[in-house]
Amino acid sequence: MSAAEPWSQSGAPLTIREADAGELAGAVTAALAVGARYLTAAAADERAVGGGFRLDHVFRFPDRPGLDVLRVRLPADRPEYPSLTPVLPAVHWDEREAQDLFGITPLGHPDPRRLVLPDDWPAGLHPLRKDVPWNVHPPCAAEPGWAPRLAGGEGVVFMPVGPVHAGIIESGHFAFSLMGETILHLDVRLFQKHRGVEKILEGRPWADAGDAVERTCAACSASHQAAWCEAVEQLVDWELPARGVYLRTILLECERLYNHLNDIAAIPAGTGFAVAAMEGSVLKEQMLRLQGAAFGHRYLFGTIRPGGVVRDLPTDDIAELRRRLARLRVRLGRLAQRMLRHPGFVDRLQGAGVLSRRTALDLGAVGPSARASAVAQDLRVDRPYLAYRAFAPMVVTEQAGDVGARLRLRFREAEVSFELLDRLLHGLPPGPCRREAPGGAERAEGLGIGCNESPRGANVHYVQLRAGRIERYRIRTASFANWPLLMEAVPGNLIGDFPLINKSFELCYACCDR
Amino acid sequence: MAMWGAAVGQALAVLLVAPLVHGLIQRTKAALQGRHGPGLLQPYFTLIKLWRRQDIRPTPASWIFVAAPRLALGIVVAATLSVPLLWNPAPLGWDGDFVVVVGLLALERYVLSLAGLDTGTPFGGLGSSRESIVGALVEPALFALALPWMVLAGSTAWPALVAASASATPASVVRFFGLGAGLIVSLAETGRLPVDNPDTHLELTMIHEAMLLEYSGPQLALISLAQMTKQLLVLALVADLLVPWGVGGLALPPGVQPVAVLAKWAALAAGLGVAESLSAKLRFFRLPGYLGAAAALSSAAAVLQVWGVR
Repeated sequence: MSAAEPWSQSGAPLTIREADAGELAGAVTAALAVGARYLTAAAADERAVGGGFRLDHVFRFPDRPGLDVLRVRLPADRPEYPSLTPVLPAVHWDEREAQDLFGITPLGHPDPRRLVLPDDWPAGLHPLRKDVPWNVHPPCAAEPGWAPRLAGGEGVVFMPVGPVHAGIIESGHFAFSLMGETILHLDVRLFQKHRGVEKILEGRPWADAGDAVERTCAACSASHQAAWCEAVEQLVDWELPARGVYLRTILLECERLYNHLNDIAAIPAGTGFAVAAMEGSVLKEQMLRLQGAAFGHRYLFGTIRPGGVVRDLPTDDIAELRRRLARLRVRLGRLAQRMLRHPGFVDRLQGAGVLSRRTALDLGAVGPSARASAVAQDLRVDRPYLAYRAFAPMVVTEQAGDVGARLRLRFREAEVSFELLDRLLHGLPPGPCRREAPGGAERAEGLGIGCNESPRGANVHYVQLRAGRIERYRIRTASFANWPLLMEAVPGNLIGDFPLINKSFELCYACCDR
Repeated sequence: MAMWGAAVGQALAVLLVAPLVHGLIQRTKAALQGRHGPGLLQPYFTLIKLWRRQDIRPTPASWIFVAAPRLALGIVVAATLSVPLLWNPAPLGWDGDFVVVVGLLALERYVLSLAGLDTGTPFGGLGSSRESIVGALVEPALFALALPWMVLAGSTAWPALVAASASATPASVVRFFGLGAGLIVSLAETGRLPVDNPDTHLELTMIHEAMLLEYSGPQLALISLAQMTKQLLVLALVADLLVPWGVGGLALPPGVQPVAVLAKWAALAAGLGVAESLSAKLRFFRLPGYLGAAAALSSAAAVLQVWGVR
């Protein structure tokens, strides 16, 4: 069965195909064989409306602009299906998450341990099911009692780190198995501070989602706002004014730029090269101040809303903005020279934390982490949206897949962003920056999917509306996709290199703690 | 009696000046990073703050954990007494011996390594293991630093070494080689980049600090003071061997001489800060090459000295 749903913002329909649980693996294999890229999976509880559970997997095919949804319906009494992980390893965490939050069992999953729920959480209580209230507080043990997977053998030392860390780092529990200075195995327990963003969004009118959506992650707030807006605009057939399209693109590029500056500064900090780290931090701070002045919020909260952008950029400010960006660009170029020509520093980066192209492809790596391992994928080009349709950026890749490759990639991408921003600001069309919702939007129905290339890779928002209210909202972030890469890239490296490798992936904890 | 008085006076003076030298290094680094940085006196405030804090010990720790900070400070102060800091010879009654000082530094490292193991945490063990490796590499390099002057003086006693260095040609190949080795050795002995990063919060990368992660409050104050004193001692020791003027060989008026020596220390401390700011931390298993370079430079200098090359 096939049904054409409303038009997406990129001007292409969303295709929904239904399959039986037994056929799922075959259908996915067939899709992958023709080059489909996996974007997101989302489970939903439809028992209250006379169904069972629904499980959607979203793919993008290279030959068409629209997205494909592969839908499976599972019975309410036995929500289980053969695990997709063996044919599509990238879904391994999605399946574990759905198992925790919905009680949907992927049969034959290679690692069926809990992912989101703490280990002392009562069995059978699945928080995202509709019959569980958002504020459920079951009694919990004093110690959650996580038993990490360790390497065994004579002389292997278990080193636990976290979940509380020194410095301004979020919560994550790392369990290293060490042989001397060498890491044999790493197991990570994230999802320490689940916030229930998806749960509290349920039942809200679509227009009231912004404050929660933009706080999914402060470091890619604009990307999350844009993905939410795209999903909604797609559903209600909302045309954006040209100026709004440009400004939204400018916000997304600014976000990429300040994040890349931050990540560039973090790498020398991991090697004690404080002079370079401080210069990088200064550049990031200048970018934040520039954003605060131009867009009203340093971290771009509250800037993008359905229909366009919230605040227009006065024409007088544009020339000044371009000048300041040009100055930053020069300083970044000088920093790149200083960092990449420092032999002691570069020596630390080479061969550290190598992610092979094969692993990156298998695990569905996204963003700079994928591109630094020679996987040329970038939603800005692969599925052009907003002003990227007119201004296609160059997709930068690196071959080595190590910390050095990820650093060089960010320098080069920052350069591309500077160029892009300059052209967008120069070509900013006149007119309104936001348009009113079309009639009937407040009663919108159906499924909308918004996705864009955040600084860390693809952020995908899956928004199901019923009578204008959110029925199910799933956010699959770039960091959710990339965290498992770390566990693959780390073994064999020195334990002293771990902070450096970790920072080169620049993974976000909050993006898991949704 | 006067001799003991001088010894106690010097020990107190060293303890008092050491935090200032540390503050100077921190200040230099901050300036090079474009930060305002803490004030010069910040190390004193930090020590006072730590001293006033509650004393906490890890449950599995034994008496070693408590004894180590006191022992470490005692050992370092004892070492300062035999090194000619302001005067040559040092105020203690005997002619201090270079080998003894190297031994005392090794002993201090041993005591702290034991304390790291005593905590029973993986970090303590990791730090102790790393510190021991660094120690095994630094010690020969430090010893080799004095080789050219031992050859010249025919002695390992401090007064003879200082006198020999002071009387040798100021700008010689031997001295330049020595200065290169001295820089490496002082960075390594004081736990600075590119060997160790004293300012990091990344536990997994630490060497010296990893051993001491469980220390807090007054115990940490003692260890910090010991570390700062050791830093001053290493600076003075390297200066005595390579740029001894002021302490030996250059007759200055009694009023000017201590000030001149303090200025020399300040210049060396600032130099250490600059050298550290230019570096990124080496990968741990590159340390043998780095410290081996220091030993090789010093040994080459000793050979040149034997051949009579200036």
